[in-house]
Amino acid sequence: MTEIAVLGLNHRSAPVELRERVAFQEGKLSTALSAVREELKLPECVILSTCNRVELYTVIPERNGHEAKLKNFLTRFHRLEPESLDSGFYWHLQPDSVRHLFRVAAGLDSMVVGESEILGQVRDAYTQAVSHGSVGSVFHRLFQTAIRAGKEARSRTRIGQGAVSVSSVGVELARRIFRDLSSKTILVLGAGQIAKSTLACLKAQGIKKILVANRTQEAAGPLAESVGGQVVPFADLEASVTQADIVICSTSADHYLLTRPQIQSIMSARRQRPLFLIDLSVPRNLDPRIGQLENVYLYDIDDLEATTSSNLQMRLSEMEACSEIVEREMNGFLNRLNGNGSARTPARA
Amino acid sequence: MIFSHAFIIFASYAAFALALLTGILFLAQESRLKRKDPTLLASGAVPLELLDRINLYAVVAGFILFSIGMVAGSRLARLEWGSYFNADPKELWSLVTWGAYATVLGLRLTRGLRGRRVVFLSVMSFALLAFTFLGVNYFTGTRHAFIG
Repeated sequence: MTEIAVLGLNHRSAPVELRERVAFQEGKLSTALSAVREELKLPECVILSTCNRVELYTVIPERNGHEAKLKNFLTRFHRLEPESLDSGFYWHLQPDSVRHLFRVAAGLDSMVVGESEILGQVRDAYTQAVSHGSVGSVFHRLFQTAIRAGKEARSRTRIGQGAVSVSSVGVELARRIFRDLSSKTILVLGAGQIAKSTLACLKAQGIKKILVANRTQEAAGPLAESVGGQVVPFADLEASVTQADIVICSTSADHYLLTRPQIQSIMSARRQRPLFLIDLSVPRNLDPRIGQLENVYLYDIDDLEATTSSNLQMRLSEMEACSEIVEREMNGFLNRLNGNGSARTPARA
Repeated sequence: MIFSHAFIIFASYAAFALALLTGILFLAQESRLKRKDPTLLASGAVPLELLDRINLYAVVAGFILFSIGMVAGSRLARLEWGSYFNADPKELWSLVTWGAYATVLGLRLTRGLRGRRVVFLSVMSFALLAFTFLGVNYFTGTRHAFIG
């Protein structure tokens, strides 16, 4: 009797050093699928390979021996020493293998609970296996049900809601303030790593006008070039802030670069257009009293982190409701599968 | 003529009600942003800039309709009661309400104000409007007795 099995490793079971050695590059995925089908004689196989997990879903003819065969295949394919795969892997058989896939698709097994990217990655892995002829009737139903359950879990619970990184919180806050981000101007002061990633997130929203100011022209130039921005003089900060709608500040200055009276006069010059200031610097570079001014919204790194933490808590509190949906869908799938006699009866609900 | 007067006035009320709704939403969301409420992003919301803009347009539309309605009403008063202005409580409170919304628009359009204070004024102006519409009939001896 056939059995759905998964051999894999993820961010919890294995360090990145092992994950990156076992990961399948996109160009090699079809070779790997062919090898599983022809060398191991397994007609159905889907390989899910992301930065946080590598998983081989297969339909095996009987329970015994396939874990070792698949590990041997991995050592051959990636040219690894056999002992390097002794730890870090998990091997699940029905119903745990099915439960695992459903939880992965719903984002319950992700490093950032509820993240939506994984659902697209599961869909891509399935599509790729389909186009390669490695999917039969069992995996068609399995993956389609898992993807549908993943969507349902996200739409019926808040598992995927609320930004959970500092950069995405910055973007979400900007979207609560401004109507159309693409028409706005960003000013970046300094060139810290979080500032760069926040800028990248905002740029992904279609923002076209980016101004970069730094104490040294050498640091401002490359950043401006990389994002298609324009270098503006650091000495003329007030003129730049007057033009900008969003200011990301991340310098190593040990004093306030902008004070409340400065922003007050800037707001008059900009006819009270809303101004969103993100101060990622420690010590802070923007006078906190600036946030008291009307139409000015000032967030520092602690404010952003408080929001990410609150959103993460909310997602965690949704895990139980989400798991219930996953269990229900999984049981439905296994019952249908069992009814058709294609695979084993679930051992437990 | 009485129907066109009433219709235009009611149309202005609808526009002012939209200004009230967007104003309340603006004040609630702006307050959460200012307080840095960590749960703010857990729910959907309309951007402040859009709420502010709709609030402005709704006040402009309401103000124009209200002004036209008042002119139509004064012409009606001339026909019915013999004078354009009869110092009826409804007329007096309508002028007060008109003045409040004129102040909101004046601050917005001439002084370029936007945001919390001017939106708050538009919300408060609706309280005057509500009194003009309902309160005047209950608390004063208006000749606009067809309402309430």
